[in-house]
Amino acid sequence: MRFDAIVIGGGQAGCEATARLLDASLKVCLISAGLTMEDENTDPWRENRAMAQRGATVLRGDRAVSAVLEAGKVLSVRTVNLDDEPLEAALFILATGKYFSRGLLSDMEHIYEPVFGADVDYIPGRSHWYDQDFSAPQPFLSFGVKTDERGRVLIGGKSIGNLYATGDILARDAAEADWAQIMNDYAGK
Amino acid sequence: MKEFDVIVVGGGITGAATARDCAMRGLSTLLIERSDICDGASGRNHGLLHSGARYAVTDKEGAEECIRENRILRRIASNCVEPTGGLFITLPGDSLEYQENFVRCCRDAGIDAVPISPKEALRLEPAVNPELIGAVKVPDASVDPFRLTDANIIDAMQHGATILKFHTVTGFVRNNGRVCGVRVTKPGVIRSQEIRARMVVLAAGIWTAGLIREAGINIGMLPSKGALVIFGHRVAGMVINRCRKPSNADILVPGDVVSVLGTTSDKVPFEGIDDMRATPEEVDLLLREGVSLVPALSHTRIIRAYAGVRPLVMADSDGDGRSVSRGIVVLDHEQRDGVPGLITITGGKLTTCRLMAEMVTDAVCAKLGVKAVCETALRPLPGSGKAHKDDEEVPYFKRAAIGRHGTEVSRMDFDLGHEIICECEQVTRAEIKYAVKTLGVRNISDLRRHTRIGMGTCQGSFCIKKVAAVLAEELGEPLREKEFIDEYLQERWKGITPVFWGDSLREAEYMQRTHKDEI
Amino acid sequence: MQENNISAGNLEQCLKCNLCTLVCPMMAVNAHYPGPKKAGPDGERYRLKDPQYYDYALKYCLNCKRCEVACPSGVMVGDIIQAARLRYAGHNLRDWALANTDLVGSLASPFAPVVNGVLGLKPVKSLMHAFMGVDSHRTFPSYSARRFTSWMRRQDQGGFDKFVSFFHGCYVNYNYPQLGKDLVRLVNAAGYGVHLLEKEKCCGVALMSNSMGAQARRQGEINLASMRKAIAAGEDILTVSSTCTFTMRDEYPHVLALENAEVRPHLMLLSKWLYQKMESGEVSLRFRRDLHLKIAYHTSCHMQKLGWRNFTLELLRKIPGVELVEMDQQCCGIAGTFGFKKENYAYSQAIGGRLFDEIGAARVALGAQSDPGFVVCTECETCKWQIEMSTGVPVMNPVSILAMALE
Repeated sequence: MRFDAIVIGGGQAGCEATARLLDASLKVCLISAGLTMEDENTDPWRENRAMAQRGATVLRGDRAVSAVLEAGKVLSVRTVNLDDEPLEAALFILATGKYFSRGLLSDMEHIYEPVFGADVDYIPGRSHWYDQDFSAPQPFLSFGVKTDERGRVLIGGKSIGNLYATGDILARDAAEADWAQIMNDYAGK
Repeated sequence: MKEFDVIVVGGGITGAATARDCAMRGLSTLLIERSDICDGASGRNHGLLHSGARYAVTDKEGAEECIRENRILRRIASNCVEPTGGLFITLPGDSLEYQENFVRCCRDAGIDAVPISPKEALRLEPAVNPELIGAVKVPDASVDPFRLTDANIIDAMQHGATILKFHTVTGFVRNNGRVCGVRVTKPGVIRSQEIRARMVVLAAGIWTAGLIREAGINIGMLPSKGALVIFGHRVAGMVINRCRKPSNADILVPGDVVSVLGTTSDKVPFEGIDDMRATPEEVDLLLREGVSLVPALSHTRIIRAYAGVRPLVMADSDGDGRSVSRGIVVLDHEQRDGVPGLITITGGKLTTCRLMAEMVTDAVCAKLGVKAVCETALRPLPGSGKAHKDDEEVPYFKRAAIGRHGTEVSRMDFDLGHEIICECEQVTRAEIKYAVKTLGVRNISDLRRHTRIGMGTCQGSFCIKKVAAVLAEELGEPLREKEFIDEYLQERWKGITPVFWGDSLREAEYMQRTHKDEI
Repeated sequence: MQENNISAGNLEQCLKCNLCTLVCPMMAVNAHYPGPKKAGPDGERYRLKDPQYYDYALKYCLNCKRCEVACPSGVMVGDIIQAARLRYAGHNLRDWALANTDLVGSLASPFAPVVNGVLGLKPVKSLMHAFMGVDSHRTFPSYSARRFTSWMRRQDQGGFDKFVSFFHGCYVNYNYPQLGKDLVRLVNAAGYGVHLLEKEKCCGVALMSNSMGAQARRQGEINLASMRKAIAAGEDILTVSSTCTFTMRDEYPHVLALENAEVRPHLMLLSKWLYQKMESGEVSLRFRRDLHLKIAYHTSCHMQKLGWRNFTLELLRKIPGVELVEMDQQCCGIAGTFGFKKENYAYSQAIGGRLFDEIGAARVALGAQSDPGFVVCTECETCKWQIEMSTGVPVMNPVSILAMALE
């Protein structure tokens, strides 16, 4: 299936991005793998539902698992449910959040981004990830994906032309693209 | 306060069992604990009810004690013991000759050790490493140390003992060299208080070493740290041991609804004994070894890691501390050091707690000229006995409580307290009320020891606010909710950080975000 | 961390966030149900310790899988509950009759007019309410006098060089053969012939929800064996029911431990197959311009879990005269045999209330208050019974709509 833009992650950041893209009259697909933590006491699907009502194709409860890249651009992603139906678009927004929402995964030594293998800003070795004092600032909460100065995601140190990150998945020091920039880039292709 | 026949210092399993025995023999008994019941090493171990098989090769006497006590505890503490059975497995590279000798030694010690084929072992316990080359079935079991200690405390109280928690013994009352009481302080009060007794028993584990110096006595003790890892659910139904010379990470115990892997054994300095924590390195080591026992552990969720301190006691004849005993040690300080009125009980194991209590109470009674005999092996502990939970008629919210407290549930009010407060461990308000009333608690950490509250997968992330509110209500201290939460999360964090990856890391983010925004 | 870890149903990935509890339709109406988190991952830790911790209130689970759709951790909450019921719960005669859809179906079909008459009579319905526990508000789906398979065997499918196999399911075979005929017409129009599977049994969903796991497993093995043969002959296996499809693709491996990895990619609803064939350009269908239908699309629970609704929606949009409203994804409350039991009737209707309101709203939005051309479209036959009984609006499977739209 083909869309103008695909937003990966249906939390607060993903829904905000979707709303922006719908404002620009784009055909948008929102891949929403469960919900955000902020939604604890409200209807968990409220924001996703609002996006669907505005015309976005919302894949509720689905999760992006892999991507096809070519010449520094993302061509398509695949999801758990649509494993034989590539979802294509000109523009991709990564908004999968941090650990809770599985935007970032970890093993005993490493933290990584599972869909694109994007560069993650963190210190290897888990003893560097926390402070012994629960109430102190926690290093692991500042880790996240790296972007270039225009907010495009880095993979292997190289900017991906049509992949932007937004929300919690960003490293604390990473630049976030502004929407005028994203829409300019989009119009340029 | 009046003069007691005996003061027991230390509210771990040894002190609790000793207070019970003393009280049952008619002595007026006071137990003093500086913190909460079971807050030391008694609450930081495997929860293994040894069959004795583990000691059969190296320590026949210890093995015989274990199997005797194992049978007694199954009988008198049925709600604390789960008769899971145990396996000793031999893996490629281990010696089958060792296994043969092991079976022989077990039988010599009276332990029913049955060699079975690897195939049979896998049928009994599908989680064991399928590459095993030999297996022996033994009557190991799982025992809940919190519940066992509580049951002893409650029984002691029912026999007239007084329990004084949150009071620290700072020294001894002396009269002509004789110990005739202790000096205690409590938090927030500068002046110490004297409490007199005809005999004082030290049952304070590794902390005995510091206390006894106040009496001008020295006991050669070494703190030995043991780190353990808790997995989120039952990975295996039986206790699984490695059939070789005891070593790191060679036991996996199904404890309540979790699995506990341990342990390490490292001598540590005395300075750290009040703040024991497992390190990431210890967790790595435990996992590396543990997966050869049960391969599934390599990808099973870990909820936390913790560490306890064993008191290793040097034989008196041994100056350099090489020869260390893990057996039961009763020191009569009148005989040993010329200090009458003081006895120390140490060494031993969770499994032999009742026997330790019997031995030290015998010594106390001899000093006091009391003739009463020990009956602790004959009378069931509170909660032990038949309590049905497998019935459609028993409401679900009550079943977890029955599983934990056995017949003690008859003292809980489920009509008003059926609401489940801790969801992971299915702890109801009725159990919280019971713990507050029966055992006395200061905070959520105390409540945890007596109910399992917050010990489950979420470690309190989800239900801690509710728990704090209920506790504040039950204690009648509505302003302390936030303090309760902060104390508990800080304490949980200590066990989460050594296993800070995968789902534990995800849970940690959840915990941080749900509880920090409000600070 | 892996997508599926050691424990069944990804039990241990549960972070206890309770989002599943918030979306559970049963939780909202029934205080006796402990909710998906407690019934699923929380309860499972206790059941692993001792089966005596099984909670009989698990019978209230609708198996709608909305908990799984909402779970940010990938825990198969519904599968855990479903598997626990299979392992620990008992069952009774009424559950047996409701669960054995193809046995009861094959007993009823030869006597269809009699059975339909008898099942529809008021005293009989009251008796069933009293003695078997089937709610008297329910109309039993009527049984067809002639099975779909007898019709199908007489159809000449010889003129094709490419084929698909059709898993028709109990509903098509015993209750509504027309839906099967519609599928054959569509597939033939796409240039493919239709084969029946060598052997077909009920997918087992009703057996599973009534705790008859061993029989479900036997039937699953027979179905999978037939499907493997069809796949070896180069055929995809098409279906019309979202529930049968979901059961055979996902519950076979997760709940019944039936290995289906090589079957799964070839087993799909007609709408997915047709969409992909049309998009790739291999198939082109021409639709009538004069079919004026106003459609409110209802995503059945299992369709939501499959995540395939867009295939259907995209196909319906290709029909020129169709006006389409996608309704929000709500449960209708019937959940297969659940709503047929008299103790569940009130819950069933309470859950469905939001959907029924929404159907009313969709009708207004489409300006079809008095329009006979207003239908609800869904892939699930039990949703159809529930919606038709509760709202009076006719419900059509998209396959029938697409067949009707063929030129």
